Formats: sequence, C-alpha cells, structure tokens
Amino acid sequence: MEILSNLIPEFLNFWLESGLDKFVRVFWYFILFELTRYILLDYVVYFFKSINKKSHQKEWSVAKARLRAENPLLSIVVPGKNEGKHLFKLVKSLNEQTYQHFELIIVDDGSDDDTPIIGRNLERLGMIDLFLRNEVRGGKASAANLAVRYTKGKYIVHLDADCSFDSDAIENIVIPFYMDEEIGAVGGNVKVRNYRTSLATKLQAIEYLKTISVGRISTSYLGIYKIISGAFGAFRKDVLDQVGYWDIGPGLDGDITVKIRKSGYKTVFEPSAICLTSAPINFKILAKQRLRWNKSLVRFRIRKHADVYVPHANFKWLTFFALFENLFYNLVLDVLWWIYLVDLVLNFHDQLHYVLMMNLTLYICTGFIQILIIFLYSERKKEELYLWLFVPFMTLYNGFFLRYVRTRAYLQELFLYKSYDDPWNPVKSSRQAKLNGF
Amino acid sequence: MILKNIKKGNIQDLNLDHLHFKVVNDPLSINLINLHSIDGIIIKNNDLKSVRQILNQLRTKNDPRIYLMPVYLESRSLFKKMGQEVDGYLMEGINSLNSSTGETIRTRIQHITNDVSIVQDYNDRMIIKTLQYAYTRSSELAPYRDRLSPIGYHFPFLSTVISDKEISKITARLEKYTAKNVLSAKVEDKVNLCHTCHSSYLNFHETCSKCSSIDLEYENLVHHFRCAYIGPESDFKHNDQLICPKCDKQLKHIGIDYDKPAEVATCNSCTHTSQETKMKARCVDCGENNSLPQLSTIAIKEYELTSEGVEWILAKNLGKDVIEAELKDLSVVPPSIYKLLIAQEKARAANKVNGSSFAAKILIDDEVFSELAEDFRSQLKEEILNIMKTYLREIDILSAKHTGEYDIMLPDSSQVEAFEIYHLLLDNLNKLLSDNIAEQDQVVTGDLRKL
Repeated sequence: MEILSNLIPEFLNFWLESGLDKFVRVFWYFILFELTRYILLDYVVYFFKSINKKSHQKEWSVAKARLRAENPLLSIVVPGKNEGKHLFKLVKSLNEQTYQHFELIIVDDGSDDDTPIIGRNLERLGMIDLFLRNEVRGGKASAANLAVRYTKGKYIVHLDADCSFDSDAIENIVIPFYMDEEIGAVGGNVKVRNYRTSLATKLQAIEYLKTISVGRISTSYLGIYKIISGAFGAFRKDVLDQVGYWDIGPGLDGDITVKIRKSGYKTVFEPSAICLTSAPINFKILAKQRLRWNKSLVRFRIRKHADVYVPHANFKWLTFFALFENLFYNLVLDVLWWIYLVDLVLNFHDQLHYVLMMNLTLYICTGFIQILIIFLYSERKKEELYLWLFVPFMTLYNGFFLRYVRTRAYLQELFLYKSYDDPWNPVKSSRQAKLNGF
Repeated sequence: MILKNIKKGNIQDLNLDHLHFKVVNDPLSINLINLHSIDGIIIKNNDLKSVRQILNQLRTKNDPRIYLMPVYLESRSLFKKMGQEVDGYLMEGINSLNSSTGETIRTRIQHITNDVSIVQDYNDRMIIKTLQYAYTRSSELAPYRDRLSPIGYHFPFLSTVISDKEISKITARLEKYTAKNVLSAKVEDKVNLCHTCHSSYLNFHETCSKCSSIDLEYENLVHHFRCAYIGPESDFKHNDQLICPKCDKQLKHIGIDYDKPAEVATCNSCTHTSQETKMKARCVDCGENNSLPQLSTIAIKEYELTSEGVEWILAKNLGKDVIEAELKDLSVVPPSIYKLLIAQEKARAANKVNGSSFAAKILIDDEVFSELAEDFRSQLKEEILNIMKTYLREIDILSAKHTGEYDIMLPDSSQVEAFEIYHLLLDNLNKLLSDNIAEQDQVVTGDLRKL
C-alpha cells in the first residue's frame, strides 16, 4: 500500500517533468495509429452522421415504403453442419419478423448428429421451405452455394443457424438496397448474445460492439467496408450470380465481399439489422476461432486479391483503401507493435514501469472513450452498461491475447500455408484450393 | 377308362369299385344331389371361378361328411393351380379316386364327430372347418399366390368360404389359434393392404411432397471441389462432358475434381425441388392413394396343426374354447358397473371425515383413429390402455365407453395425488398420440372432479 502511495505521485511527477516531446516519443504508436483510427475517426463519423440524421431518416422511410410496395421474395439460406439443435429456435425467431415474404432454405453439410431428422421434420411441418442434405461434407462454401442454387428470391439473406434476430432485422438488412441501386450486399450488425456467460464472452461482446457495431459504421460511411459477416448478410441475387457465389474458405465472408466490391458494387453495413450470436465461451476455443479468421487475412487479402493493390483497368481506390486499411491495421501494425515493444525495452528500460503504467492508463481511458461512442450508437444502452465494468480488461485482451493469436496466425499462414490444413474444410476441397492457389 | 365313363350333362354318376361319385359342372348342381349318399365329387369344369363356386356350395354345409368330402378335378392344369383345395385330378392310367389317400381322407372324416354349428361366429366356424380339413388331408394349410384374391394369396378351404372383404382380417384370428398352440406357423410373405378396400393390388410410387404429383425427376448433385460450386448434374452437362458453370473447368475425375454428395427430386408439375418425397401406394382396385402409415401389413403364414391342435379339433367342446378366447379384458370395467361403483363411492365418500375420491374423464379426438390402418389402430388402442394401466394405482377403476372415452375413479386420493395422476395420463397420452399422428399435438382432453 505504501509502495503504491509513493508510486502514483512519482509516476505523475515523472510524466509532468518529461514534457510533451518525450510523451510523443514514447507513445508514438498509440498517438499515430490507435488514437486517430479508433477514437478520432469514429467520433468524426459520428458527428457527420448526427448532422445528416434527419435526411438519412427520410431516405430510410422512402426506401422502406418502396420495399413494402414491391414486397420482393427474400431467400434466407442457412448452411451448416450439426446445427440441428438450433433450427427450431431459428425458425421461431424468423416467424417473428416484420417482413414475412421469404423462403427458408437450410443446407445440412454432412451432419453426423440428428440434424437430418430435425430438418426433415421441420420441412414436413412446413416450417422450412426446403431442407437439403449433402450426405458427404463439402464445406461451408459449397453448402451455401447449394442453397443459393435453389433460391427463388430477389435477395439472398445468409445466416448462421445459431443466431437469433431482432424482429425488424430481416426488413432492415434489405432496406439499403432500396436506397442506392449500386449496393450489391449489406452486412448485418452481429452482437454477442451470451455476454454474461464468462469473461471471454464479455470481452468479445465489447470487442464486437467496438469493431463491428461502431467500427463498421465508420468504414461503411467512408465507403471502405470490407467484410459482410457470414452470420448475417444480405446479397442481391443477380450480383451473387455475377461473382459466382462463395469460394472455398475459411474466411469466405470477407472473400465474397471483396469479390462484390471488385465487380463494382458497393457494400454497406446496416447497424439496425441486429443479429445475436453465441460467442466462444473460453479463451481456448476463442483462440482457435481467431487463428482461423486471421489466417484468412493473409490468404485472401494478400494472396488471392493481390490485384486490388496494383493499378489496372478495374482499379478502384475505395476497394484499395478498404483492403489496405485492413492489412495495415492488422498485419503491418501487428509487426510494428513488436518493434515498438523492442524500442521501449531498449531505450526506456530504466523507466519501463512508468511507461507501462502510462500505457495502461491510456488504453483504459481509450477503452472508456470508445465505449461511450458505442453507448451513443446503441439501441440496447441499458443492457450494455453492464459491459462498462469490464472495459479495463480490454487492454490485456486486445493488446496481448488477440495480438498474440494474430501474430501466430499470420506467421503460420505466411510461411506454412496452415489454413489449407484446417479441418474446417474437407481435405478434398483444401487440396484443390491449394493446388489452384486460392 | 374313367374319362370315358363321364357322360355329358349337368350331373352324372360314376361308380368305381365300391365308391360312388357324382360328376358336376356347375355350382347349382350341388343342391340337386343327395350328398349323403356319395363318396366324392368330380368337377368337370375348367373355369377356376366356377370351380370355387362349386367348392363354396359344398364347404359351407354343416355336415362334416359333406363339407369335408373329397373333391376331384377333371382338369390337370387347374389342379396345378388350385393345389391343396382339391384332392386330385382324373387322368388316363391314374386313378386317384380309390387311392389310399382318398381312403385316409374318408376314414379321418369319420373321426370328426363334433358339431361346428354351435360356434356362433361365422368366421370362427369357417376357421374350425378349415382346421378339420387340414386334419383330414393330413397336410398343412399352405397359402398359394393368387391374383384373384384381394390379399394376393389363397388359403385352401378358408378362402373359398370367406368373403373377399373378410379374408384380410382372418389372419389376425388365425393368430389366436397359434397363441393357443393349436397351430404352428411359418411366415411365407408380408403383404400391404389398402386401408379402404383391403386390396393388396397396390402401385407404389414416390410423390412430390408439395403437390403429391408422381411426375418427379431425379438428379444427382455435383460438387466441384475447386470452386465450391454445387448444383444438379444438368448444370454441368455439356454434350458428353461435365463443365463447371462457375469456373468453366472440365470435371474429369470423380473423387479428385468432384463428387456427387446427394440427389434431388424436381416435380414437373409444380417445379418444387426437394430431397423429401412422399411414398404413396395407389390401390388399383379402389383408386385410394394410401400414405405408408395408412397401409395395413399382414403376414401370410403357412399353418400346421399341432398334436394339441389335432386333439382340440377332435374334442367335443369346440364352441366353449372359442368363446373363452373372445373374453374381454377384465381390467376395464363396463360402463354400467362403473356407474354403480361411482354411486357407491359417492355414498362412501359422503360418510368419511378424512380423505376424498375423484373421478376423471379422458377424451381422445375421434379423428386420431379414423385415418389409421386397422392394425395400427388396434396397436394404438392397446398402447393407450397400457399407458393408463401404468399410471393408475391398484385401487383405481378404469372404464371405457369406447376407444375415445374413458372414465377413471380415483378413490381415497388427496387433491394433489389425483391431480398428478390425471396430468400424467393426459401428458403421456398426448405425447403418445402426437408421436404417432404428426399433424396434431393436443388430441387428448378431459376433466377431473371431486366426488
């Protein structure tokens, strides 16, 4: 206690005496990259969106009226393996939707549990329009493609079976198509349903709010939105036909978004189309999931879509920025972070405890500033207040856990092409993908 | 020589050694003959239907010496078709009329001294006659395939005397005799019967799950590994080659380039695509389109009299045993007795200081049973009773007005106990019925009242 009561005045004294120059020298990484991207940018976008709120609402109402007047058939497709236990709840959740002119197609990708029995029963009872089963597993992409092959709707809504939806989610995700004809796909707002279960789910809930709910509002506003979540996304059927549907994953949701952007269509994020999903309940499962997600950055953003960075006839600046921002803030800054750490150890080893304390203080403060903007945007303000308590843990979660997993994934994929060995895909598909350089 | 002795005309005499036969050619002739004075009948007719009519005339009489009388055919080809139903055929050089077999039959007929007319039920009476026939012919009752029979099989003797409509139900009655060890049985076949006319002449086909059309087209799905495109084979077909519609690559090697993970059916009537088709069986006789659970399946068995069966056949008190077999389940009291018991219990409860008695009524929607095949229906009824008996205590009294209405008296029960038993019954019966009848989920209702 005595040490702490001495340390705090010493710490404050140290930074007051060091001056702004030294502060910038030590925390250049934070000031240059994190403060600008995750605080300033989000608040600037929020400011501009607030100014345009009324006109946006007007546009929204017109689009909604147009949607209702046309009343197009939507095709909801749900590919998955061993998802039978979620199907009844999913159907019930969809029955509550404000927009009801949809067909529901579920594809069982070679499940080895009771999914086929459950699916067939629901189909017999008329709760599912079409239940298709691949006796042999083909992977998520092929399951989604099979579902799309039999759709009749004008728009395709892709869902994960373990999600549930706000009652206006389906309607809200297709309204943007009626606001701008150039929109080829719309991403839904995915939030964590089981945020009270464990520390891991609480931290993921904050992360989802930060990176999906707020982060994607900003990137979408700037026109550089680059990933439509597989859990909840809507696509124009004609656009999907044009881009050839999904390719082999993992990371197929990011891949198809880039394909759509490369074809000249806009991709936007719709924050009011809210879907709740179950997040991994412990750090071990979470690490496994993130390893898979992060490997796809190298596989798709660097390798498969390398042409985005090179000037050519179809070159588009916004697509370039969308992928560049992703690459820079994930891969480049990840490498830079380790260099930054070495810089701190080498040059400030005698003051490291003051540096670390200030680092912690900065990131915790940033965390609260970020959650404040989440609060401003959120439609679940009261419920999400609970998460404010856990904001201090985000420094360790973001700064170390996720960064470690990310670095590991990038190294594995860059040097060992590990994503092709991922059991998430059947070997037959991964072999072909590797062979053909996808 | 024998054939030469048969003269033209409706009824003729034939004497051979000490035996006297009548030769007939139409069903009406039987009633014109003094059947007690002859040793057998010779049928001179090549038409199967007419022969069966003659046999029916003979086998439905009440005197065993007449209905078990040896019958011979003139036609060898017809004899081959009819097998055990007759005792032989006539042919130059072969004399089956006075063979030792014929002698055995006549001797065994003499052993039958009991009177089947005391058996009230016609079908049971005919079964006993059939068993006597099997005894006199020292043979098993082997059904043979017969397109004219509604169940596709003809039982010697039995099928001749039972109407087409009843024959499908007879197998269930024969089972009672197997259970009593009168008969031993060996399954020969299983046949499905239409739920309306009990005919086995059914046409099975898969139908569209949406519009029930039979105009379905099946196609394999093809999954191209390279680009993850998957669709029906026709998407890929390009002359003799498979070309991927997404990436234009040729698919050459199954297992390496592509596989066929499933099959889909597309309906040409309503364009619905599905992997879930409905199997239906259209009855050729009445046109009914049966769903599979509606069909009743019966086992066609070859029966043989056991030694106990022989004793039983020769015993004098045939009728009594049959009546015993028909006795009802005593654990379910008749409504009239239940009414009496309820009145008594009411009086008893009124005099008691502590404790109470309850009466429950359970009602099952009639529609539950109406669409089911008979076999399935009786199984379901049994299961309903079993569930009731499982949850009722020894002191409880169960009564049934019919299969859809049950009264239960719960004597000396607290309100909680009575409520618990009542709800256990309701829940379990609802579960049983909703498991069996998918479309409905609340088919059992009822009420509980204090006496």
